[in-house]
This record gives sequence, structure tokens and C-alpha cells, in this order.
Amino acid sequence: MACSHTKRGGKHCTRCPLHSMGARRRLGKLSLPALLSRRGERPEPQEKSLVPAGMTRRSFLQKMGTVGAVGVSLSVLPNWMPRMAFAQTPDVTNGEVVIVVFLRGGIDGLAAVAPYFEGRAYYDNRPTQHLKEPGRGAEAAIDLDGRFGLHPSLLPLKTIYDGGDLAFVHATGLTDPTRSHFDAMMMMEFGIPGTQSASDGWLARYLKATAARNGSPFRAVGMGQVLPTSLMGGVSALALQSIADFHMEGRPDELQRMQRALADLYTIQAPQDELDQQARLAFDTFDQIQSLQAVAYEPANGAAYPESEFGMGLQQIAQMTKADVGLELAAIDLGGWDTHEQQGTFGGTFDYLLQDLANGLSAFYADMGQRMRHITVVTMSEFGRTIDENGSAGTDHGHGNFMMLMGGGVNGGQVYTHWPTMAPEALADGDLAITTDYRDVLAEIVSNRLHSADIEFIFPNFRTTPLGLVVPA
Amino acid sequence: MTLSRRSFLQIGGAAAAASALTVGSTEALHWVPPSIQANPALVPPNIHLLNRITWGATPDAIAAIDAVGYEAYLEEQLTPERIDDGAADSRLRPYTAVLNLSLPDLYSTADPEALLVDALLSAVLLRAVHSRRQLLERVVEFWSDHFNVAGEDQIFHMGRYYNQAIRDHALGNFRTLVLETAKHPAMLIYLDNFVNIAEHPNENYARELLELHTLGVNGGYTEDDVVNVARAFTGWQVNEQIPGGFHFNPNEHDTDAKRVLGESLPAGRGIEDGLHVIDMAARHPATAQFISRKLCIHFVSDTPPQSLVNSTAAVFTANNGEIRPVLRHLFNSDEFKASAGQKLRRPLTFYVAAMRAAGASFTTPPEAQEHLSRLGQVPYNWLPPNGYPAVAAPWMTTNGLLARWNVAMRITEATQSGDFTGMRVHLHELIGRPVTVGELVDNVSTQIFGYQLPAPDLQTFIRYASDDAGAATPVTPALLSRKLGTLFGLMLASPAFQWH
Repeated sequence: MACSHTKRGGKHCTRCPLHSMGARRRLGKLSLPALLSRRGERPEPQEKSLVPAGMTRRSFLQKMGTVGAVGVSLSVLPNWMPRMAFAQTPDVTNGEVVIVVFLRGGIDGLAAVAPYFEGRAYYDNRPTQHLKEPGRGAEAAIDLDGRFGLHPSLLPLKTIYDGGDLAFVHATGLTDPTRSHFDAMMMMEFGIPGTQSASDGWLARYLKATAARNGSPFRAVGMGQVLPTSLMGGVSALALQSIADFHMEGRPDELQRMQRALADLYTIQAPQDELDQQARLAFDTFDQIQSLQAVAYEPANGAAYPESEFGMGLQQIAQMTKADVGLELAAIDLGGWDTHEQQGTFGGTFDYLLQDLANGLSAFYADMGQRMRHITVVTMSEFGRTIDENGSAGTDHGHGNFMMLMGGGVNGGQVYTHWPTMAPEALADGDLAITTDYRDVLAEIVSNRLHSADIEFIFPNFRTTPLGLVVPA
Repeated sequence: MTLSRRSFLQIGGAAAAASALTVGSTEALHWVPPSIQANPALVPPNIHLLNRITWGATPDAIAAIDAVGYEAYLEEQLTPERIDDGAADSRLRPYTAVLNLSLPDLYSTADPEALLVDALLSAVLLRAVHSRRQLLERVVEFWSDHFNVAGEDQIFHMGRYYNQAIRDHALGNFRTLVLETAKHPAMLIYLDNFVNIAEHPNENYARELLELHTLGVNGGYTEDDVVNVARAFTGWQVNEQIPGGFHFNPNEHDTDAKRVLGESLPAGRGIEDGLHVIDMAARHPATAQFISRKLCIHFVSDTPPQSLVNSTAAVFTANNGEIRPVLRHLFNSDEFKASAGQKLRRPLTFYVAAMRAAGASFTTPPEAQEHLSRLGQVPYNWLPPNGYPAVAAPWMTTNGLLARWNVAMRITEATQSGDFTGMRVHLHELIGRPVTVGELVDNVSTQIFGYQLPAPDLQTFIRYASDDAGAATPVTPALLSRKLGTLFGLMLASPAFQWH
């Protein structure tokens, strides 16, 4: 569907508005409202601010603060409302939490975790959008293992890597050759390469396979307006823009009476159909969320989250994790990586996005402290970018890419790869080949941390290969 | 398969809901609201028909159908060209003008993308709320999902795609619809047929034409058929310089012989190959079944009786894919008449029905985008080619239900208080002159539903509106100013309004 017609090495696609309008658009969460909400957004590189598009920093902060305060007073449930304890058997997963970060738009893995040891095969194709060899000044890679080097803006993650809680996987990704954002994201999130119309995402299938474990309304949360595809398909996952937003609106002086009427109308004490069940979950969520809002959240250990949508999303995941409300899966996006022109590996869009990513994840790691032993964070992106940069100091849609794993159960301090090399004959349609199926990385997390034996249901028609990247909980 | 609610709850939603997501699945579950299931006669036949062929039964529409009768009203709606729609047209004019702009004219505007997106959204909402050609709008919605096109790549073609290619033929002939969409730049780009050339065939459109547009995934075609259909459509390209934008390029067409669905496509032809495939696919028996089943799922039940699907398919075939006789048959069938309350309103249907029930009108339609985003169904924003799900299961989420409650309150309450400026409501004008809370609740529920709600629901509303003082409580200006908006909102948020 999308920019499959973007030609490698070409300046940029002239056929589709995404490129031909000359506007570098943030390819954020490409879900339903995205097209419309990005309407009118001008090609504003994010040099100045990482606050969500269309929202000034002031209004963003105001929203976070004041709505939250109102939420407290409105969502306090009266005594007649039953406190519905949700079924939770934390011993099954030991309270393990998995956080999936989707880097939408196709992050340039060759400028984030650079294979500097490839020498000319890397540098000849990348005259400007590259990292220098370690030790060669400000724009040099931070060495990881004598082969790969980290972008300097990812420095905050290096300490975690050195401590053994962070690993990189390289030359990984979706094996399907599509270079369409939409198709690639859909297939990745379905967990089924080659399909465009599955009925559910891989996380949703995990939830179905283990539905009896945990009845919390917070079991699976997608940070954002709508659920990511990975969480779609007949499960009660919660799309949460912000904790403060999950409450009933209406006249404050009538709200309790209205809630009581709705509880009666939906017979939540004895739900009679699926819609009633959802109503009951909503009331249960009001109840739980009230405890989250009772006090202003203070990150621990001096952690400072970026004031970006990504940073604020991670902070809310941290808050839910610490509140022990039953959170098991969280999905969060960081978009904007579709850097066809003026990529800005240093001092530009790409650089700033990397900072947001690194500062967010390192703040989360610090904030979680000892809890990181039970948390696994994984990043993915729909495809990598072209080995050779294009004529506009950017890169086009490529193939193989990197993933990141962070957590106490991660066999860290390594760059895991069956490096295919960048020799012309080793490339896949001109770009980095994929030697590790991204599903192997995910499957290992699901089986070793979440203890689900239903890998064949979660990733149909796929034989997994153990990687040794995630140790059993 | 129809499961009782009890057995569904025991299954726990997992496998059940998964199968329900597949459009056209015979395994789809449905849930009937207990109150209506217990009293099938609760919804009068005329109101049941209105609930399904309109975007929400209003008192005006009920009066109109009661005046002429069920069948005559249906006939009126089946011939929309005879219905004067001047009032809606004048509201729409600024937006239809944008939708129908030629590509060069559109490009010459300051911000064509914003202009077009606003116009698409405004037109679909204004028509749904205000048009008197209500059945046409529901059928346009059906085909818009069936021939779904979304995303940024072909955004500039989407105005004419939805407003002309789909709308002009929605009640016409099925083969024409397939042809009009096949050669439209919006579809050519969306499903990559514009890069489908003899040297490098691209199967994207071919596969979806068979799987989603005509025969259906179980329609009996093979992988070879997909490959050969792709070859048949090589050279179908886009040229933005010519009116319509469709261009057949013989130089990129595969002129070798092909075999599709058991028929031979001789060598040496050009555009005739694709036209031949469209003819074959449109009159294929599997297509009659597939389209009929989808229509039944959209208009009757998530699990339509096979008897109705079969009889509808027979009408489809006998009339060479003419849509009107098919719909006439469907809405006059006994199966349809027995289906009251079996469909969950999708978010867009809920939203428009709520607006109609509250007598609301837009001042600045694009502001509705925020409501629709929260509800999870912004028109023309379903990116995969299979269209928004027609069945209930994927829409029954905690977040989605909370969004319905809050949007109902926004429409009836926030607009009253001036917090939301995108629309206008005048609830006081809709309720007559009730003396007691009992009368108030009756009047509001009649305005919204048109029929008598079950006693437990009415009692809940009376308790709410009277602060537990009972039906005899006098209606005062103070009570109205505190309760009228929220009472409307509660009724729109109630289960009875989610099902129809």
C-alpha cells in the first residue's frame, strides 16, 4: 500500500503525497485517527520540542496536571459501588511485566548501532549519515564489542549495557520483503509475515492463551488513543492516553448519580452480555485508577523522564507497574523515524529522536530500580533503512534492522547477531539481510518471562529458535 | 451458530471473539440485549426498519413511515433520486464542491490535504445526520467499507472515489461498482495496481479483488487464479493529467494468454483482459453468496440465517447484480423482521444516531473528528483493505464503551453549557411540557427510542431524574436545568441505545 514505490537511492518518491509534498511528515502511530490528526501539521522538524504534535508544551503540561486533579474529585466512587477484586494469580508470571516499544517509521539501525567494522562497505555508502569509528571525535561511535558502536546520543543506555541488563540484536526484523510502512507494521504486529488481514495481534493472542491468569483491567495497556494492532482482536486491552483521562465526564454535581444509573442499566453486578462485562470492567478501572491519582507521581532514584509523549507514556507505565494494579503488557510508540530527507544523524531529527528514546528508557530503568528484575523492555521497528543514503541526506526504506532488549532477565552486554555482512552479494534486494527473525526474540520473552507455552498459537506456522537472550524468570 | 449469552461468558471471549472478527465469518457471535430479546414485540416493525435503513429513527421519520406504511416507505427510500434533498444539499455544498474538484484545481489550493480531509469528514456526517435519502447513505457506508481505500498515498483521489465512484453506483449494479473502483486512481494506488506491469506483476489488487471484493476468501479460486488476474490487470495505470486519472498502458500489459476461474483469456488482448475478469468475478455464484452474506451481516444480524443468505443470493443472481431488488427482498423478509435488537451500533452509527435523537446539528463539522477518534471510528481511516468490522465483537471494548458514555454527555451536556462549540442542541424544544418526572422520562425516551422501554430501565431513569423521589416529582425549571442534558446523555449511553 504505502511507499513501496520509493526507489532505493532515488531522491525521494514523487508519486505519493507523503513525500511529494516536500513535507517530511512524522510517521507516528499509523492508526485510525492518525491521518486526520496529522492533518495540517506542517513539516516541522522536532529540533525545538519533543512535546506531542499539535500541542504546546504549556498545554501539554496543563493537561497532565489539571485534568488529573479534576479526575480525582470526579472518579471517587460512592460506598454502594462494589469493589470488584479482579482475579489475579501473580504466582504464574511472578508479576513479570513486558513493555513493547514500537519505533514507527523505520529507524535507521545503521546509524543507531553502527557496524563500523565493515569499513568501506559501510562508509562508502554513507558519506554523511554514519557514525565515525570509535575514538574519532564527537561524532564517533561508542564501542560496544569491537564491531558495533552506539550513537553518542544513546550514551545513557551504555551504562545499562555494561551492567549486563541491555542487549542489542542486529540484522533482525520482519522477513517479509515489503517496504510499505503499513503492510510491514501490520504484519509485524499480527506476528504473521505475509498476511494483511489476520483477526488479531500477537499480544492479543498471548492474552487469549492465558486469559485465566489475570482479570485486571490494567492487564494490557496500549499508551495512546487507540490500541496498537498487536493488542487488537477481541481482548479487553485498555487504550490509555493518560491515566488522568480515564474517567467519566459530565456535570460534576451529577456524576455519582449518573454512574449509579449506568451501573444499574448495564447490570454490572450480574453482567448479562459482553457489553455489560465491558461496563463492569470500566467501573473496575475507575476504582483502580483512583488510587493511581491519589498522589502526584514522584519518580524514584532521581529519574527524570523527558517531557515528550514518549517520556510521559513511560512514566505512566512506571506508575501502573509500581501500583501493582495487575499490569502485564504495555505497548508504547515512538514515531518519526521516516527520515527520507535531511535525516540529521547529528543535530537533526534522528539525533533528537534518539535522545528521546535513550533518555526515556534510562529514566524508566532508574525509576524502576530493583523492579527491573521483573521487567523486560523490547524495541522494534517495521524495517531498517537503505544501506546507501539518498541524494537528500536521508535514507529510504530498507530491510534488516536492530532490536533492543532491556531488563533484569536480559542476557545483556552483547550485540547478538549472525551478521550477514554488507558485501553486495550478501544483501537482500540491496539492503541489510535479516538473519534473526524478530519473532524469535519475542517468543523467547513470552516463553521465558511470561511462561506461556502457547508459542505456536501466538506465532502461527513458525518454528522458533532459542537465542539465549532472555533467561527464564 | 448461535451461542446463548451464558455459554459465551463461559468461553470467555477468546476463541469466540477471534472468529467473530473475520468479516463474513459464519462463526460470528451476536448478543441480543436481554430486554429486547425478552420482548421481541417491544420494537414496532416500522421502527425496526427505520433503525436499520436510516442513521437513527427520529420522531419525524416515524411519523413519515407510519403515514405511508412499511413497504411504501421502503420503496421511497429505494428510489432516492425522487426524494427532494435540497435542505441537506445546501448544507453540504461547500464540502461537495471540494470533493468533486479536479486534481489540478485541488492542487492549486493552499492546503489541499487539510481541505479534502475536512470535506470528506464533513460530508459523510452531514449526509448521515440530515439527508432524507437515509437508506442511500447506509448503503454508501456499506460499499465504502467493502471497497475500502484509506491512507495518505492516494488521499487526493479519495474525494472523487467516495463521492462519485461509490456513491453514484451504490444502488446500481454490482459489476459497475467493481469496474468503477478497479479503474479509479484511489484504488489503483491503494492496492498497488498502478505498479502492476508485465515485467513485474504485483498481485496486491488481484488478490483483494477476489478475496474481499467479489468471490470471498472461500470462493474457490486458486493461487494460479490470483497470478493470472494480476497479469490481466497489468497496464492499468494512473495518469493525473487526464480526466478521471485512469490510463491503460498497452506497453506494460501482459499480452500472453491467461486462464482465470476456468475460462481462457486469449493472447493479444489489452484492457479487455481486466474487463473480462471483472465480468467473470461479478457474475460468479460465490460472489452472489459472499455479497449477500455481507449485506445480511451489515443490515440484519452478525449471524444471519442461511435461508436469508440463500434467498438474497438468488435475487442477486436473477437480477444480474442489481442492488435495489436485493435490498427490497432483504428488508421485506421474515428473517429481517424478526431481527430487532440484534445489531450493535458501530461507533459512527452510534454517534450519528445520538445526534439525530438529540436533534443536534453541526456548526463546524470537522470538530466532530475528536469525538470520532475517541470512539475509534473515523470515516475513511481503516487502513487495511477489509473495511471497518461489521460485527459487534471487535467494538465491545472497555475504552470504547467509556468513550460512548463520554461522547453522549458531550453531545447533550457540554453543548448545553457551551464547552463544546462544534454543534448545537436545543433539548428543551424536544420534550413537550411534562408536569412530572414520569412524564419527562416518557417524553425523552419517546424522542430517543420511539417505543416504550422496559420497566426496569424506565425506573432507573426516573430514580435518576427525581433523585429517588419518584415519578410524581414535579418538573421545575431548576430540575430541568440540572437534569435534562444528563438524562438525554444517560439514555444515549444506555445499553438499549447501543443495540438496534
